[in-house]
Amino acid sequence: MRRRMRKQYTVIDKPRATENVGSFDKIKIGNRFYRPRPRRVPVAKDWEEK
Amino acid sequence: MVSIIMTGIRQQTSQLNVAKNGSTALFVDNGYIGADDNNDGYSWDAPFKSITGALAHAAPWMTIYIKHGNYHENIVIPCESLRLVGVQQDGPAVVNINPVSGTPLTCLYGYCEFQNLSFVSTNSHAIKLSGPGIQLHDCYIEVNNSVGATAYGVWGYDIDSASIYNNYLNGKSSQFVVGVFLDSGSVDCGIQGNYFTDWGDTGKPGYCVGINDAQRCAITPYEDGHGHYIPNRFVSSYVGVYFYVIANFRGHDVHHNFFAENDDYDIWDGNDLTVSGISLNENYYAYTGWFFDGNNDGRADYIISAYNNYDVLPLGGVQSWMNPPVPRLNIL
Repeated sequence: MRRRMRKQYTVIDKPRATENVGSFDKIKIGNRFYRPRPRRVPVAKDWEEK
Repeated sequence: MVSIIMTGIRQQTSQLNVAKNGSTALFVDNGYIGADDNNDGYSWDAPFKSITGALAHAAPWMTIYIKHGNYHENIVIPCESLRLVGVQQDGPAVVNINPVSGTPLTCLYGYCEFQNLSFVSTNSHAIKLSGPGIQLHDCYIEVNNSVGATAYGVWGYDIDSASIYNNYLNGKSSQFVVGVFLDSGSVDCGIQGNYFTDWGDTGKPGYCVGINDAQRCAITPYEDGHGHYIPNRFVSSYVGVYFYVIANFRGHDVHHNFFAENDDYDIWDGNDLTVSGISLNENYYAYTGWFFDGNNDGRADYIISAYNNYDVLPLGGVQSWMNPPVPRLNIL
């Protein structure tokens, strides 16, 4: 029970889809994340072209 | 017999202009034999052939009714407070607006409403919106992008108080696509009850919702008027909700949504929490093997990371937020 209580409130990353079920390897410790940023979709520029 | 007569009366009445909004209604039916853009468009017996033909006669407060068919047009709305109504957004009666190239719908005027329409674009934005009070609902919006430039399902460019609800948005697993993109000072918009699927894929960046230069956007369920709450569903995409990093206060809410099968993050927020004011709370993540609820309040005892931000009370069921939560201490 004590162990469980200690485990509560852990910050976890997004639960992954089926193939990674149960393995939350990307844990945040302090302010550090071990999961990379997603790739960025660039902001479109052609508003005026219509 | 009576019912036959009534059916006949109803059918005839529906042909008359008085049935729908009187003289403020215009009708478009490109499948009708007598359809012509030179008709007056005041009834289903003399409809316009194209939506563009109807828009040439449009004025504020008008409603344009559109019957099913394929409309290969780039629609540009000419004035404020117009309403475009299709039959349905999918199935045999779909009103499909799919131009050969370019953007199916451009609306730079406020207070317009679009419903029960289908917008399909290839290598281009599907809908470009600018102006206050625009409503977009019960529509199908598809973007299929195979070029390097970014394409948006809905591009909100300085839209204020827009309502985007009950739509089905499909990114066709293509890359550099965003389902709803809010930019250029869009404020107080609601994104509610929509279904997002296939915006990006494994290794193909794409977001269901991208928030850039915008404030106070509510990404929350749609309340249908009968006490039913329909969540936004963010499914099978690369990232569900992506907050671009900008410096000022933003104040968005991402509450009570549904996430499943997304490839990278469900929600990604790289902003500084001390100034961003972005609230992530009580969303449901349909993945197995992570949920633990020691006090049985329907909220997980874990916090879901969204990079710099957190969903502090992820749900055990998509409607569990209706039950009051038990306060927790020492969350972080």
